[in-house]
Amino acid sequence: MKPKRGNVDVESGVFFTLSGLITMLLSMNYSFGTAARMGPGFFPIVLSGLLTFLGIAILVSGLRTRKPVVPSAFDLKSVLIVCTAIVLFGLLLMRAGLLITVPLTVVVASFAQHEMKWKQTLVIAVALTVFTWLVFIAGLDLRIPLLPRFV
Amino acid sequence: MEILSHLAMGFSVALSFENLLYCVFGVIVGTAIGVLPGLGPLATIAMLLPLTYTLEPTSALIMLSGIYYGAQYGGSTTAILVNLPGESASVVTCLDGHKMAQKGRAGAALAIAALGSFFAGTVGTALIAGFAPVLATFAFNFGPAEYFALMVLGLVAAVTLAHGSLLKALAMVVFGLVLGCIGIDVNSGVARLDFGFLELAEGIEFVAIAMGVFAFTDIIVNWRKKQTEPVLAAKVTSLMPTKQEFKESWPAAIRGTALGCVLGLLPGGGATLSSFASYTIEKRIARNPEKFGHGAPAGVAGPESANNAGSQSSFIPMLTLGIPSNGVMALMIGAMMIHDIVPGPQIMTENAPMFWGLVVSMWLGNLMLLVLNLPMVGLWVKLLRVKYDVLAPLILIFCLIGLYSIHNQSFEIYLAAIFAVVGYLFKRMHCEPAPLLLGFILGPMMEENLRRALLLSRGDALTFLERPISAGLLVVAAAILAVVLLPALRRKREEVFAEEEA
Repeated sequence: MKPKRGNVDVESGVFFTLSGLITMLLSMNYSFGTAARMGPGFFPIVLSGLLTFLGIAILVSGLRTRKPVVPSAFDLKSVLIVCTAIVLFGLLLMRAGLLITVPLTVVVASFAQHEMKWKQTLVIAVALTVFTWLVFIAGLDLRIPLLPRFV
Repeated sequence: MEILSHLAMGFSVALSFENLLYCVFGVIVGTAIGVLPGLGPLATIAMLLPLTYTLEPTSALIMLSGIYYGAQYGGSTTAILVNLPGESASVVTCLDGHKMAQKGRAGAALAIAALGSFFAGTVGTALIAGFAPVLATFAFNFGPAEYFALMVLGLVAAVTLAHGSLLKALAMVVFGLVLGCIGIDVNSGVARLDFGFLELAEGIEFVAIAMGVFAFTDIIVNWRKKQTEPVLAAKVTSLMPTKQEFKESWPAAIRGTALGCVLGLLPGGGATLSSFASYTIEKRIARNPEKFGHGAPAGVAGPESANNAGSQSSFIPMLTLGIPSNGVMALMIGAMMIHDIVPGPQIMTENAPMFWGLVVSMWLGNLMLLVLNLPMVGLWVKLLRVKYDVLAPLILIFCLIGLYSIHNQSFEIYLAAIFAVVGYLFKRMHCEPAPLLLGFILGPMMEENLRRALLLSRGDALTFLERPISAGLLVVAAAILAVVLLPALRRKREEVFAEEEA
């Protein structure tokens, strides 16, 4: 489960270098201009150059170190569960309304806990739905649909 | 005396029924989230920001500020009684505060923390009242070159003060600056780096980054852990410190306050940094440093005063220059912009009632916090029984509704999901997210001021060195960077941070 290999500096170095290069590539489409009349590309190109440089520097220092800091295991399950819940909420809220979206999101997200406790989760889901209904729709009158559109 | 009439105006604004109510609400929410570990002021203010759309701007700011400095009070309670930092600025309070509690001096530690915070809050508020108008007058002379130099200095300061690798902190700042470029360029109207999304025309929503990187990443990291019941150290008996404890505390509180006031002014500074710095200093100058870590009252008084002073004085650059020194201040600027108030030197004249009302409400809020925290401490401790299983869905749903209601669309929600993953990657790679936020906030302002400064000088970059103020600021920035990069000092810096983390 836990990989012993890896190096936080190498990983972040690669991340920053790639981000810098991609930004530079994209910014090439915008005119650079001159110092006196900076074009829209001036600032991003200068910055992405700097970012690439820093990324390479971090990468090199990571490759040279004798005692690499090993990153913790990538917890794909938790990332996927939480992000699914977030995206689900975004997709459903306008279409299905608050009364369906909130409990569903809570249940999906709750799979991220140490071990799924169904009873507790359902109680929280119901309580939170009523609470958000009272606070955001009844109280603050935000423009959020309560019920599904076809009702 | 002009200041007296200003303060009188402030009191009349702050004491109105409505504003008093929002102040109370703010400090109560602030204390609560301060007590709860895993929920900080940044995420809370981001969550509540959309709810302030309908409020009067003054009430909104009073409430949001109350949350920020209220959290500094609440954080110490958890640190002392449970040995958990309720808030990141209270990390060092655990060291000696909890030891005091184990020795049966929990009440004294709480009292020292609250009194120190109140003293610091009073001084910090006075500093805003006295210093902000002066700085604002001074800032009227600032041209684009000066603003640009000031922001460079701020970012450099933020980098050097960040934990961990310097290079990574620098890279995070630049990454934030790049993210700030996204959106339509105001001068040419060209849509930059928007990947074809119309929703990105006005740039990435700051709240989406903050919630993704802080709130959602935390949920991913923490929810899977097996939860343990917090263990309370001891019953709180007498709140009175002994004479000896008081004698050891008050000089530390004064030093901590002074330190916090200065560090809060720096971009990247604020509450957390001030408390760390104060603890280090108290330990250095103490006559018997071996007492630290075993329940030294100075180790509670210093950092607790410093974090509150820092949280107050960080309002000064935000209010007078329009430059946010940390993420919370950036959200405050966001709250003002919603109401068409542009922070900057003109705020003192154009929005005088708001400015002075806010200043006075801060002092009133500190007074309320003293009352809320000392006699009612037992009530707050009960909050710790709330399990993360309950807290996590609450944070999640509140954030999601907040994100949706920014523009009544789901786009910001999807953005926040991306930043949750990015934030998780950063956490794994040991990259601090705070410098990124600062870079993102300052990015567009820096570009605009750089552009204007170079336009005025017809492209001559020497303009930054020919103007005395801007040259001075840049020299200081270069000096800081040079000093930190020197090998000897670099080792020292790592030593200091290692000590703090221990």
